This record gives sequence, structure tokens and C-alpha cells, in this order.
Amino acid sequence: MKTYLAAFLMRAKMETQYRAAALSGLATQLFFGLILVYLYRALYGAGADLAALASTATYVWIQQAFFRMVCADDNTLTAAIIKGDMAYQLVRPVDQYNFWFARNLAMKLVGALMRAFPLLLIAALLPAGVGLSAPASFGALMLSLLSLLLGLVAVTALSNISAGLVLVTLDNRGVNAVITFLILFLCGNILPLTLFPDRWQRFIQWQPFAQILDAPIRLYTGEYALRGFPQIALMQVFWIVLLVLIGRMLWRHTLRRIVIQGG
Amino acid sequence: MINSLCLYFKSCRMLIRSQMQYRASFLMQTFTQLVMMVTELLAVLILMDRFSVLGQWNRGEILFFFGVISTSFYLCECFARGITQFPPLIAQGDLDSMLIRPRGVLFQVICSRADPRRFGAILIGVLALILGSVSAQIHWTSFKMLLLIWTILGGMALVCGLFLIEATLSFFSVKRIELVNILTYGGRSTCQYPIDIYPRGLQLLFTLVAPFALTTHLPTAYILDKPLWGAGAGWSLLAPLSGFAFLGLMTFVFYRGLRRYRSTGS
Repeated sequence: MKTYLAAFLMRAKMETQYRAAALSGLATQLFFGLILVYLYRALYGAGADLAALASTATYVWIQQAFFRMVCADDNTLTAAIIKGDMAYQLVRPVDQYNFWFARNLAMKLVGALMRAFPLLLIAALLPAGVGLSAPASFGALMLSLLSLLLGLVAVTALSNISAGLVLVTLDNRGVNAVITFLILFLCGNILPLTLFPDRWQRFIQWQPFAQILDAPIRLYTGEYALRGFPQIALMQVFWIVLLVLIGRMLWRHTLRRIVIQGG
Repeated sequence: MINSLCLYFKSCRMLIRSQMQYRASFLMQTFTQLVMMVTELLAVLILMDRFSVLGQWNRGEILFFFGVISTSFYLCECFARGITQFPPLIAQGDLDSMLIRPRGVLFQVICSRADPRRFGAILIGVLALILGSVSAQIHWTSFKMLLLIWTILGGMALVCGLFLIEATLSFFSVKRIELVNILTYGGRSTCQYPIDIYPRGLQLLFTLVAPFALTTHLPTAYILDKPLWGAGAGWSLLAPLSGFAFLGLMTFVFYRGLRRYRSTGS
């Protein structure tokens, strides 16, 4: 456990060094957030239901703030796999899945925090209807933070599966780009899952990608009632367990018959 | 000129053939592009399914706008991919060899890459154009057909010009400046939708700085019989020129930047 904690802390420290990248990411996310918010304002139209618009704007801002959590992939891992440096990694007396899981988790957590705080602050200062609204209640805020942590673990498990597929295909552009795009679309980044057709909602809320950010956001805006939390958390934990199991199987299976190229 | 075009097409053929050597990887990446575009199209369809109108525009018209931007953007990415790959040329010192050849640097840059993987994305753009045209019941005339082609060409020129900004900046900073993406990819995302739905500041940005609104939206709105800002046939025909003017300006700036180029060595 201590080893993995060390790997986590090392990667976290490394992430804090990329301040210029964080700043540029912040500006980009701010821009895209503004565009989306104004798009939705135009869609809701002049006779707008202000509450619905404010909740959609909040959805957009939280999605933008945690974009890095969803989207960051550990490129040192893919590079190691493609260049053959994986051989050195395999010499380490650690469980490979856990080791990279810890690093991935650190990168996503620290990377997201560095961008989320300033972005959410700016978004909260924007006028109502285009800015970030306050949480439905104090309890909603607390439970959504808890749910966000589960979401972080879920997306890390997903990205470990994605990295495991690079071990198989040796190509980080094909399958992985598809996965990244699927995650973005089905986690509600490209458009809020709340705006999907009503008859799809049940399926949309149960699929694994909704556990990353959609569930925490719905708790925050009050769309999910607080007493429904155990059920939501259970759904998140269920997917985490499943995704970790799939990932571990994939890694064990491929690492057992791995062929190292280059040297 | 003719000779240059021949050279360009020859290099395109070579590049496509070299990509085809890795057939599985090529197919996979084309498929990726296709998935990306299908989800983007799906996002537009889902939104229009829920809201049915966006400002004064209906579903078909929005699809048509989406088609115009996507087709020009990805045609440009397909045929002028070299420009987006310019910064690494400087970082790795490959630009030096281009400077000693008897052709313009920009021409060689464009010839150095083509991206046939974008065919999937272009296909979806054209599909959106057709779907939008049918759904919006456009009354096609030969003038409108020509105007559409002219608009897409103008859009391609504009996108090329925008990509040139990043290329030019790389003379000054070896590190990539990702903020420029706001104008290129951000411009594409923003201007998928007609400009009149956005507040004044964004309208100005995409009319005066990166003139998507002039180059593509003005003529597109004319084709849809809902002229923007009262622009008639004449103005709509002139508007795409702004894309070419932008490209011209950026080419000039690029060559100015090239003068202060210092090799990083190799």
C-alpha cells in the first residue's frame, strides 16, 4: 500500500509542475463553457424557464471544470508501452495495475483540482442563468462531493481499461480515441445527459459513463433527491467494481503473454 | 502554377499510398473520425429534438449550418494537414531542408501531409448538408449551388488561415501555444450554429477576428432564404472572399515570421 501511495504522491507532485498547461486549459474550458451556456440560453429561448436554464448552465460549468479528470490519459504509460520501456516497468516488484491506477488517479485528481477551483469561482461570479448556481442545499453539496470521489475512481478504472487496450493493440489513436470520445459523449460533456430524450433517461442514468460526473452534478443541482443517495452510490460502486475487475483481467491476461519490442 | 498543382496531387497520391501501407491502423483511425463526427451530429439532432427551434432557425437549417462548417473544416484538415503539423518541423529542425529547395516553404509544408482519415468526417458533413437541405426544403437554383461550393472553398481558406496562426507563432515559441485552439477548434464548435444566437462579444470575435460569420454564415443564410443582416445575393457572393483575404493576410504574416527564423539545429 505504501508503494502505491508513493506512486500517487510522486505523480501528484509532477502534475502540479504543469502550471502553464493548467492555465491554458483553464482558458480553453472557460471559452467552451461560455459558448455552450450561450447556446443553451438561445435554445431555451426568450420565454425561458429560468430554473431549467440555470441548472443546465451549472451542469455545463461543472463538466468543464472537471474536464481534465475525464480526459487526461497518462501518456508516459502509452509511451512506455509503444517504445518498449514497459520492460523496465515490469521489473518493478509491484502490481502493475495498482501502480498505474495510483498514478492515473493522482494525475486526474490534481489536474482537475488545479483547473476546477478557479474555473468554478469565475463561473459562480457570472450572472444567474449563465453562471454556476449554488448547490440545492448544504447536504446536496456534501453528497455530490462524495459522489464525485466515486466518479473519480470510476473514470480512473475506465482509463486503465483504455490503457490495457493499448497493451493489446499497440496503437493509442484507434481504440483509445473512440473510448475517449464515447466517455465525453456519454458522461455529459458534449451535451448534458439531462437534455437527452426523456425516454432514454433511465438507460442514460444507469450506464457506466454517467457515474463519472452526471450523478454528482444531478445531486448538486437537486435533480436527485438526497434520500436517493444510497441507491446512486450503490450504482457507482457497482460499476467501479465491474470496471476494476474487467481492467485487472485485461492487464493480467495481456501482461502474461507480452512481447517487448525494441530495447 | 499548373506544375505546382501537379506536384501537389502527386504528393497527395504518395501520402495516401504510404498511409495505406498500414491498412488496419488507417481503417481504425478513419472509423474513429467517423464515430467522432456521428456523435457530434447526434448531439445536434438530440438538441433539436428537445428544443425544435434555435432562435429563428429550425432543425433542417441548423443541420445545414453544421454541414457547411464541418465540410469546410475537415476538407481543410484533410488537404492542408501539413500546416497543423508545422510546429514539430521547427522543433526538430526539419524546416531547414525545406529552405534550400526551389519551392515556397508553405507549398512544401502543405505537400508534406495529407490526411485521408478525414474522409469519414467529410462524409458526415456532406450527409448533414443533404439531410438539412431536404428537411429545410431549400429551393435550389444553380446560383445557390455555386454559392454553396464557393462558401465551402472560402471556409477552407479561412480554416487554413487560422491554422497558419499557430504555425507562425511557432517561430517565436518552440512550445506549442494551445490557446490558439480557441479560434480554430473553438471557432468550428461555435460556428456550427448560426452566429445570431450568440451575444454581441462572440459575434464580433467571429466576424472581425476569425470571420466565420462572414465567410460561411452570410452565404449559408442566403441559401436558406433567411438573409443575415439584410445581405442580398451580391453581398453573399462577396462574403466568402473574407476567408481568402484572411488566408492571404496570414500567409503574409507567416513569411514575415519566417524571416526571423533561427534553426534549432538537428
